Amino acid sequence: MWKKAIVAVLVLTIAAAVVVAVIDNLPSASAADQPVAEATAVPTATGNRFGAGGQAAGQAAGQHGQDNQGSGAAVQQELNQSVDNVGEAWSAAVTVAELGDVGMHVTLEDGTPLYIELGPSFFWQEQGTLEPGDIVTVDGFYNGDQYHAASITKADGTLLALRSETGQPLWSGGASNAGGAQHGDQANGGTGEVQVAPEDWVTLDATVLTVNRNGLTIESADGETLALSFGKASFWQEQAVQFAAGDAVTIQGFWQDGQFQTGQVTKVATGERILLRDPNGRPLWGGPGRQGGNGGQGGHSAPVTG
Amino acid sequence: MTAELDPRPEALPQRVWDSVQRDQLPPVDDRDRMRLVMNNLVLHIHPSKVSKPTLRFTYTWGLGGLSLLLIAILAGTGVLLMFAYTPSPDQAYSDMLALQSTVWYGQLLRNLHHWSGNLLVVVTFLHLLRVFFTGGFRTPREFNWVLGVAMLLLVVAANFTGYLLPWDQLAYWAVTVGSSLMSYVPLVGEPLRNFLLGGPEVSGATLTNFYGLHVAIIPLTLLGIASFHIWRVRKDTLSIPHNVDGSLPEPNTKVTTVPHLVSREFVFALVMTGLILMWSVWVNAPLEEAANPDHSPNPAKAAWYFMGLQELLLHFHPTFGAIVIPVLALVALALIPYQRFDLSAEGIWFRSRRGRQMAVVAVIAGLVLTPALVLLDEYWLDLPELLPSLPTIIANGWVPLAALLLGLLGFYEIMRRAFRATACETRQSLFILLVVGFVVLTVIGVAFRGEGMALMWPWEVLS
Repeated sequence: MWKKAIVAVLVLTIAAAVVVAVIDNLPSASAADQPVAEATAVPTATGNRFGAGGQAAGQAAGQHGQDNQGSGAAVQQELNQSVDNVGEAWSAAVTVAELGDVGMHVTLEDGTPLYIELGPSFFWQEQGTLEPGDIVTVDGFYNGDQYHAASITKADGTLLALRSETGQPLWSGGASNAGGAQHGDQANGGTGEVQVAPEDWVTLDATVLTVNRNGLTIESADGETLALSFGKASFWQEQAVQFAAGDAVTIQGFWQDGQFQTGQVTKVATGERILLRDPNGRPLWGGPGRQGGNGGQGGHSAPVTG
Repeated sequence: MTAELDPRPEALPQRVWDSVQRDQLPPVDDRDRMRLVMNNLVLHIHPSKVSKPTLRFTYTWGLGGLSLLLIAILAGTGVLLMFAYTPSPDQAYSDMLALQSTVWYGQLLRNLHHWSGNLLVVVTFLHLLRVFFTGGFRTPREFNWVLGVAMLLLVVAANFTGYLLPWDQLAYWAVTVGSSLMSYVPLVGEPLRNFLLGGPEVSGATLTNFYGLHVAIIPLTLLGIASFHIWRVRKDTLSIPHNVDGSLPEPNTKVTTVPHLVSREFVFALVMTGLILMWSVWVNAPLEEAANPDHSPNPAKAAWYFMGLQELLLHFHPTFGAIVIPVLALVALALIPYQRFDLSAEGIWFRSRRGRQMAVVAVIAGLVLTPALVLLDEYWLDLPELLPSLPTIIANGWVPLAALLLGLLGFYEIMRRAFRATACETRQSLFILLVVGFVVLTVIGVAFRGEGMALMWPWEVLS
C-alpha cells in the first residue's frame, strides 16, 4: 500500500511539474496582442550571461531602486514585450539625464527615457564620476522589473564596475549577499565577514616588476618589493586590464596578518583598474552555488559552480 | 623437609622464553596448533579451526584483513609523523618541507601514510561490496553490516581530517570545499560547521581541531568499533562460499587456523606491504604551495572521495544534493541486511547465475545512464529556467529527485520482469546501478571538471 502511495506521489510530482512548465512557458497572450516596441529604442541583448542568478542579485539591488523608477516604469512596461527572458543581458548607449542615490535616469539614442539601477552611489563614485549629459555605454541586465547596470563605460574609456558577470553586486561583499549564480562560473573565495576597517586602507604607488598568473610583483615608491596575489586568477584576468613590467600602478589595499591584501589596482597611464575586494575588504571573486536560494555561504568556501 | 625439584628448564634464557611463549613452537600436532590460536592475543581473533572453503582467496579477496593491515601501517607511520609535525598554520607547512627534505626517510614515511590512507578508503568500500555481493550480511550479521558502514564513514572522516594537516593549497581548499557541504544541513549545519572548523572558515583553530580528531578521537573510535566488528565476525563465523549452482567448491571440512589461514594471511600481508612500499618509494604524496586563503585554485575541488557529492551538487539544489540524497542513500545502505534475503543465495557471488547477468546489465546501465543524465542536465535541461514560478528547492530539488526515483523504480520493475528475477536479485541490480552511478559521478568530478567546474570532454582533458 505504502509503495503505491510513494509511486503516486512521485508520479503526481512529475505530472504537476510538466503542467507548471507548460504554463510557465506559454507565450503571454498580452504580449502576442501588442505590437513590439520600437526596435531602436530597445537595449541590445548581448546574450544570457546573467541567468536566474541575476534575478536574485537584482532583487537585492532592487531594494535600493524601488522608489526611483519614475517615468522609466512606463518604458519598462513597453520594453517588456521585446525582452523575452528575465535576467537577459543587454547593453545600450545612453545619455545620462539625472543621477539619483541608487540609479540614474537616462535617455536612449532615440530619446526614450529609462531608469537604470546602479547600486549605492558611494561604490561607483569611488571609481569615477558621472554627470548629466555624459554619453555612456551601459552593460547590464533586465530582470523583468528593472534595468540593472553591471558596468558603465564612459566616453573616455573609464569603466565603472558595478556587478560581476554573474550579476552579483560588487558592493555587497561577494557571496554573502548573492542569491545564486545560475551560470556562475566563479569558483571560490569571498568571505562574508568584514576584513578591514575603512581607516586601514592604504594606497601604494608602485612599479610593476613582473606579471604572473597569481598577480603582480611590484616595487613600491619606497623601494619595497611585494609579491601581490590577486585571488582567483580568472576573476582578475577577466577584467581585461593588461599589465606589463614597468607599468606605474596605484594600489589600494590593506595589511592583514603580515600580508598585503590588494583591493584594487589602477594602471596610472590609462586609468584602467581591476577590482578585487569591496570596501569592506571582502574578496569579490566569491560566489554561491548555481542552484541559488542558498546564497550566503560566504567564506572561501562556495563549493559548487556550474 | 625435602626439596621439591623445580620443573622449569635449567637454562635461564629458556626459562625467560617459556615465560613469554607458553605453548610449544613450532606446534607438533593439531592440538598444539589449536592451543596456539586460543592462547594468543592476536591469533585469537580467529577460531581455532576454520571451514576449508572459506580459505578460498577469491571469496573474500582478503579485504577485511587488508583493511587491518592498512590501519596498522597508518598507526605506525602516523605516530612517527607526529614527531616531525606541529599543528600550527605557521609551522605545519614548513614541517612538511622539512619532513621531505631533512628527516631521514621522512618522504617515504609521509608517502606510506598518505597512500595507505587513501587505499584504506578504497579497500573498506570494496570490502563492503564484497560482503554485499556474497550475502555475508545475512542473519545474524545484520548489525555487523551497520558497524561496517559506520567504520567506512569513520575511515572517510579520518582521511578528511588528515587531508588538512599538510596545510598546503590542496589541503586548505579541499577541506574548505568539503566542510562547506555541511552548511547545507538545515538548522544545525552552519553551527556544526563552525564548531568543527573552530570558526566560520578554515583557520588555525581548524588545524588544531582536525589534528585532535585525526590522531586521537577518530582512531580510538575506529579501534573500538573495529574490535567489536571483528569480535562479531568471530562469534557469527564466516559465511561459507558456494558455487553458483549452490554446491560447495570443496568438501566442507574444517582445518586448523594454523597454518592454513594464518600462513595465507601472512603471505598476503607481506605481498601487500611490499606493493605499498614500492608504490610509496616511487610515487610521492602531493604537496602544493603553502595554503593561501586569499587565492583559491580554480577549480577548487573537495577530496576525491567527496567528488561524487560535489558533482551531485552541480545537478541538484544543495539541500537535496548535499543532504537529502546522501542521507537517503546511507539509510538505505544501513537497512540492506534487514530486507528479506534469499538464504539459498548466501555465499554465492552475485546471488545466482541470473543475478550475474543482471549485474552486468546494471553495470552497463550505470555506465551509460549516469553520463547521459549529467550531459542532459549540463547542456539541455535547465529545470529552474523551465519552472521559474517554482522555488528552486522544488524545481531543482524535489522534481529531479522524484524523476530519479521514478526512473529507479522503473529500472527495478523492468529488471524484475525481464529476468523473472527474485526480489533479492533485483535489489542487487538496483544497488549495482546506484554504486556504478556514484563511482561514475566521482570520476566525472575528479577528472572531467575543469576551470569553474565546467564539464570537459575527454579530448579536452587529454589535451
